[in-house]
Amino acid sequence: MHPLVPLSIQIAVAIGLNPLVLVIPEVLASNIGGAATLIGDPPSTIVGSHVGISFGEYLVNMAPVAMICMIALLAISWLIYRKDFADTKRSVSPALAEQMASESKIINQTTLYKASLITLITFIGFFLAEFFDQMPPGVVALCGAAVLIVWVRPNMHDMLHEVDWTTLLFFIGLFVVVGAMEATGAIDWLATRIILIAGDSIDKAALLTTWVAGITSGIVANIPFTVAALPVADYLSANIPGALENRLIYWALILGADLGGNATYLGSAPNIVAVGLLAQAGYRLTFMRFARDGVPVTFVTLIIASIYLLLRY
Amino acid sequence: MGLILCATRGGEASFRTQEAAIDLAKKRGDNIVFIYVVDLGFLDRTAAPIVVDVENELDQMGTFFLIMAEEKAKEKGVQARTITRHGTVQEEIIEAVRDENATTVVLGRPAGSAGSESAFQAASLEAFAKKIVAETKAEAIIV
Repeated sequence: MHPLVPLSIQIAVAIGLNPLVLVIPEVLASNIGGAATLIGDPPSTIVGSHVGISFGEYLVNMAPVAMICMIALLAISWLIYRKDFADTKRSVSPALAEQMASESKIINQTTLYKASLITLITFIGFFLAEFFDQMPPGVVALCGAAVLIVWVRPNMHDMLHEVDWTTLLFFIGLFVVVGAMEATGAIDWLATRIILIAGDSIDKAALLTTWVAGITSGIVANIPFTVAALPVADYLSANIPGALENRLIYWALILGADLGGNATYLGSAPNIVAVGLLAQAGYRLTFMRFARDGVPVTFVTLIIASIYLLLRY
Repeated sequence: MGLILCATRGGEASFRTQEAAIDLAKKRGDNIVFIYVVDLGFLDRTAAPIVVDVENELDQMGTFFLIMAEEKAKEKGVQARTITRHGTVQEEIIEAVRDENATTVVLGRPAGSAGSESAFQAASLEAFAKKIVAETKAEAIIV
C-alpha cells in the first residue's frame, strides 16, 4: 500500500483533487483487502500461524467476506466523494506527465523476472504447504526469500538495513507481556467474564469477539491487540461447545481486528504511515477527518462480518 | 541579484508560499531555488514493518512538487531551479541556505484550512526564522 500513496497524491494534485479523497479510501481498502489472505494483514498472519490455519483454508473462509466488504467500501466512497471526482481537471502539464511517466519505468527487468517467478512459486507453496505436514506460511516465505537472495545476489548490507529491528523487538516484548498476563491469570479472568456474558452460545461469543476486537482495534493498534486477545480466543474456543471445530472465534477475531483497524488512524500501521506520507506532501489528515470516513466504513463492514459469520458457521 | 530559497511541499499553504516567493523574486530581480526535504521521522511512530522504499517514493513525490513550483516561476518569467535534500526539515534548510549562498529564505505560515498545513507549526516558525538569520545571515521572510 505504501508505494501507492505518494503516487496517488501526485495524481490527485495533478488533476486538482484533494489527495485525501484518494488516499483515505486506499488505506481503508488495504485493511479490508488484507483480511482476504493469510499474509494480507498482520492480525491475519498472527492468528493463522498461532492456530495453524493453511493458506487455502484461510482464503476459502475469509476472501468472500473481504470481497463483500470491499464492495461496501466502494459504494460508501462513491457516496462521499462523487462530487469531488466530478470537479477534477482532465489534463496535466507535459512536465508533470513526464515526471509521473519516469516513475513507471522498470529499471531492472532481469531482477523483475526473477522476483516475479519466485513470488509465483512462493504463492503456490503457500497453497501446497498443508500437504507437507502443515508447513507454516512463515517457512514457505523464508524459503522463497532464501532462493531469491541466492539467485539475485542483492547487497546484503542494504538488505539487513531494510529489516525493521524495532518491530521485531516490539513483538518480542509484546509476547513477553502477554505471557505474563497468562501466567498471572489475567487472561483467564477476562475470558471467564466474556463466557459469563455469552453463556454457552457460540454465536453470542463470536459477535462479542468481532465487536470487541473491532472497537478496540480502532483505539489501540490492531497488532498488539490481536497478540493480547489470542489467549482469550483460545480459552473461549476450548470452553464453548463447537467453537474449536469451526474456528469461529478465531475468524471473528481476525475480522474484528482487521476491519476495526479502519475506524481511526491509530488502528493500523498503514493508516499511520499514510498520515505521515500526506504530511510530507503538505496535507494534514487529522484524527477526526480520518474518523469521519473510517468510522462509518468500520461500522458497515463489521455488520457485514457479523452477518457472514452467523450465516456461514 | 540575490537568491531566494523557498521551502516547499504540496498543499494550499505551500502553493501560497511559492506564489509569494515568485512575486518577491520578480519584484527584486532575484532567482529562486525551491527546496523539498524528505524527512522520514514519521516512520518512527509506527511499529509496522516498512519493507518498501518509502524514501525513494517520497523523493519522487518531492520532485513532482518541485516541478510544479518551477513551472509557476517560469510562467511569471522568474529564473528557478530545484533541490531535494534528505533529513530533518529545519536542519536541511539551514544547510541549503549555506550551500546555495541564499540571500533570502521564504517560509510559509501554517494554513487555517483543515485540509492542508505549512511545513512549520505557527509556534516554532518565528523561532526558526530567527535561527536562520542568526546562523546564516540570510534574510528570513514569513508569508
